[in-house]
Amino acid sequence: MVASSTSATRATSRAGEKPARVSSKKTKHLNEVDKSRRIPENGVLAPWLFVLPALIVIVVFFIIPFINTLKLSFTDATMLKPGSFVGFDQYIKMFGDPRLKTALLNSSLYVVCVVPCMVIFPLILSALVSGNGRVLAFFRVSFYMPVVMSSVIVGLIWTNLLDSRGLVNSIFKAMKWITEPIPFLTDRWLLLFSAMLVTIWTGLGYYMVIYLSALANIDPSLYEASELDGCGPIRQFLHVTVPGCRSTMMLIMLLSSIAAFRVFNEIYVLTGGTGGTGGEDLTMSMLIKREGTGLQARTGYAGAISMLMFVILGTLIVIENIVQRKADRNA
Amino acid sequence: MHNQRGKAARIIQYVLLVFMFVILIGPMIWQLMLAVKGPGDNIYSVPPYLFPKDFTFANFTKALNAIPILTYTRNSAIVAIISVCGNVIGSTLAGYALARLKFKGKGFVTALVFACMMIPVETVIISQFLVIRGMHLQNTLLAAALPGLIQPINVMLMTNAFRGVPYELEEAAKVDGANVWQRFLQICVPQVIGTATVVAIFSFVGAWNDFLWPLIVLADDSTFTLTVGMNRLRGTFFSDPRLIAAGTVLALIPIIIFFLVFQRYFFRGVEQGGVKG
Amino acid sequence: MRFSAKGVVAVGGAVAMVMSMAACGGSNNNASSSDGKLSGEITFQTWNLKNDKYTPYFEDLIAAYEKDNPGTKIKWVDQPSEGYEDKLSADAAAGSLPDVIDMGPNAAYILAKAGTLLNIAQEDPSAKDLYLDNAWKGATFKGEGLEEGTYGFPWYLNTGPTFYNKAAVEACGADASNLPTTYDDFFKLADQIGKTCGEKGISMLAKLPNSENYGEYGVEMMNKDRTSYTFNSDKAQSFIENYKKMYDSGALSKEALNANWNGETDAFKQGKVMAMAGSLYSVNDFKENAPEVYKNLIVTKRLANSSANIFMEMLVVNSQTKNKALAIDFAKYVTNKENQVKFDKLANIFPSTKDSMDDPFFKPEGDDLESQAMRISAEQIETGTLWVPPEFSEAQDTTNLREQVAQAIQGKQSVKDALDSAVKFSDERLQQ
Repeated sequence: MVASSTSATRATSRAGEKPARVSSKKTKHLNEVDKSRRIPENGVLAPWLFVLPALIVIVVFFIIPFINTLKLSFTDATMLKPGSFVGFDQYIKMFGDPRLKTALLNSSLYVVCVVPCMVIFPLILSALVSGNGRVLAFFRVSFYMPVVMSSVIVGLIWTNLLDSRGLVNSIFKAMKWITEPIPFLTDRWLLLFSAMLVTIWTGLGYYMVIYLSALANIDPSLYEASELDGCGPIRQFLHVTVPGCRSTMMLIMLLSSIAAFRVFNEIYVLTGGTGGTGGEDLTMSMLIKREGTGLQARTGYAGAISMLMFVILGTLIVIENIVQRKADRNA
Repeated sequence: MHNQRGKAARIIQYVLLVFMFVILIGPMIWQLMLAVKGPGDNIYSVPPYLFPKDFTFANFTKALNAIPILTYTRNSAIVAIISVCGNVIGSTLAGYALARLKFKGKGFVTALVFACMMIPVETVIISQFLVIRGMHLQNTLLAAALPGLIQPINVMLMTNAFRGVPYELEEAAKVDGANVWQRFLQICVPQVIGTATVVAIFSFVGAWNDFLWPLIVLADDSTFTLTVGMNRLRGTFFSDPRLIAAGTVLALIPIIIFFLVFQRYFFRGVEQGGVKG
Repeated sequence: MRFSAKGVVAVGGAVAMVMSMAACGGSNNNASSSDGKLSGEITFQTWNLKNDKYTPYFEDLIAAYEKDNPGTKIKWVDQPSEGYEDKLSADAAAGSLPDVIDMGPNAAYILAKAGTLLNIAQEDPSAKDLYLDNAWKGATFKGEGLEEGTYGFPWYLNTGPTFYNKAAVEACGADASNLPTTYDDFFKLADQIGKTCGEKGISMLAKLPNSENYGEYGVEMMNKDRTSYTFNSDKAQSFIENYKKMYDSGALSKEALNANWNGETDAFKQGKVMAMAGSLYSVNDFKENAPEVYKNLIVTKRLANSSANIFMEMLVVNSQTKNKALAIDFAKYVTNKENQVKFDKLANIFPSTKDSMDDPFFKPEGDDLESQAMRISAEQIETGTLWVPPEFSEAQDTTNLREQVAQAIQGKQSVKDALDSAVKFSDERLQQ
């Protein structure tokens, strides 16, 4: 499934990123030529040599351990006890756990709200900072700084800002906009939105860097041409920059969906590790961490939740691919 | 008319940039200021104030003296460099194959890479530790770098970058009789230097800031990385927030330098006026 | 975990064996011959005690021991403050725990239940007489699937006073010369002044009850057999109802519903909180970092209906140690009276050994806040109790209890439902 989507993105990326250079007709022609020559030129072995290092690391440190997690999810194992086979008991128990419902809701909301912001805002930001000169270079470096700060510091800073007696509430009060402090950190929904704000705050710089490297690949003659056509900066952004970054936008959508569904740090640090008032802001990763780490960990149960998260993310990615492909066909 | 519109756009651009600067960097400056506040500063005053009244560098000296920061920094640098090399080389190789070569099992490999990004680290970290122990690598810096040596996300980034390289470039080389390795090294890699730099920066920062994995796999002072060792600034019975702030500022310096040095590479394309070809 | 673990653990164990053999060339594995000559090497792990302040103490301690016992080698490692439980669980799962380890009763209980720790009461019955009764009892575990025993040497203890901010007290309209030292009196006061405090933006408390506070209020946490929890009793309900009343009147900080300990301290330092439990370190912390609050500081006994809570650290011995005699002897040495008192003076904490509190260090004469705090704490060491059951884990049980209680305080569920559900949650884990 991922394979077919890959070739779809590939077709888009070529049609999207290099419209001036390669007509789709020519591409097709080249592909046919490729097909006839490919095997003698690549050899059967070469591609595998290319992917071998990555494959070894991935299989040894992720795939095999995760198969282990899968096996554990059918046992009642704990951190210090191997446990015995219990069939689907952990899965049945999981679906009866009220915390799972909360975690699923919070993680899903996170994806819905954060992903569009992560795809769009960093692109605008990267367009703003792209260009020559030391001033812009200074801004580029500055905007990346939130990414390199440790999450503990980020949490410290934002709790100080959003606390009921924190800076934001003090300012609002001084402006006479509010009489009662806004409970950013204690209200079930406001806390979730505050955490999203922190995610976007750190994510801006991260995805900006990815976009910048993509912008560097856009043919400058396209900008020149659009300028001659009398396009202003906004139209230029919409008609040259955005189409030129299409495949990167798609990639960032996938990456940020995965990251958003797995959100952990932001909520953890804003609440001092408690998952919000009454644990109502627990997310999937927080639930997994709570059940699956520490001396008392219920590794079997945590394994079942991990499997659920894995399946949901897989489904999400397939859906995003289908939507993307449809959008491409209509475009 | 054109010129005026350009000027207005420039002004709006800079207003937006300064606005973003305040939002994104303001909190950092606060942290920096906390690190230079002396005992005469009430760091809990309401409302809080930014600039120190009792300016001092003593917190930095104290942090430097309290822990073997040089050893930690050296260890962090080694881990980060291993990670950068592994990620840049490994994901460039894999990315090229996944983007440009056709082979049986390519879909399967792509699926595996994607699957890895969806695995919750919490559930596999103990298994990873057991693997490292099986290799007799516990308490080595290599072990601290190993699981993140070639990260799936970087493979995806490189794949995406290679897809953007115009096909006719490679086609021309093919006609000239270049084999797949020559085409990879001489034609395609120069086109994706920008993204490779991004990968380098991401893996450097990731390795530098990683805490839980090095904590588990490293056992004593001689191998601790900076993030693990910095924890020593946190007292068992009492911690001084200024000292911790000073420590975090110190730990940031190498990352900032690394970024400053390398950011121009991923930006080079634009400044040189486009893709070479 | 287990699948790949099996083979790997075996390999790991073999490595450890080779290493210990290379190091000591056949160590004395007979624990009963404690008068026999000790030799060989062990690893001793502390938790966040390696820094410019404590390193010299431990280096001297180890040097002195190695000098008294020629042929022994103690390898000291120290783990950072954060993530200690993750580190312990990884090592426990891999079978690579050090020989002598510093940990709290909670971690020790879980490891003891997994058969990882030596029963000191069995290995060295005479040790019992050396330690304070409450401390020894705190290191003694029993329960389903666990043979009753003492699974480690008690090490340092800690407790501390309750601090009041006089300015906040007076702003709320309370009498600063007659401040409550029991929960009953405190809640009575809250009934009178809670509303005023809330209106002035001052919190009487800025923390939800911690697990030790239930015992301090007079709640029995567990049944006698230690097979199930009982903190859903009427007593416990009335405890939480009082917090709810404070919350409704605005006298309990809203952030308290999810704040950690640091949040509470920060708020107290900002002068927004009336009372807070602290340690000896707090006095100096206020002096340096919150001078305004320090000027208004009042030190009282720790708020409790029953007796004040004591925290304890233990030194446990790994049951898979290759050098049992040396490990036990060294752990006992570190926790003996002389060495403990020396460490306590350095770290401003308290010894768990008998007859150690006579030292003038614990009985200062002065009238300053530090001396007051020391006298109060020292008295509490002798009369206090380790209220938190070792079975009740910080990561799981405490967090869950706090979440349930927070929902009850907000009125999202009844107090009874909250406590019932917390007991059910923790009972399930107790039997796991």
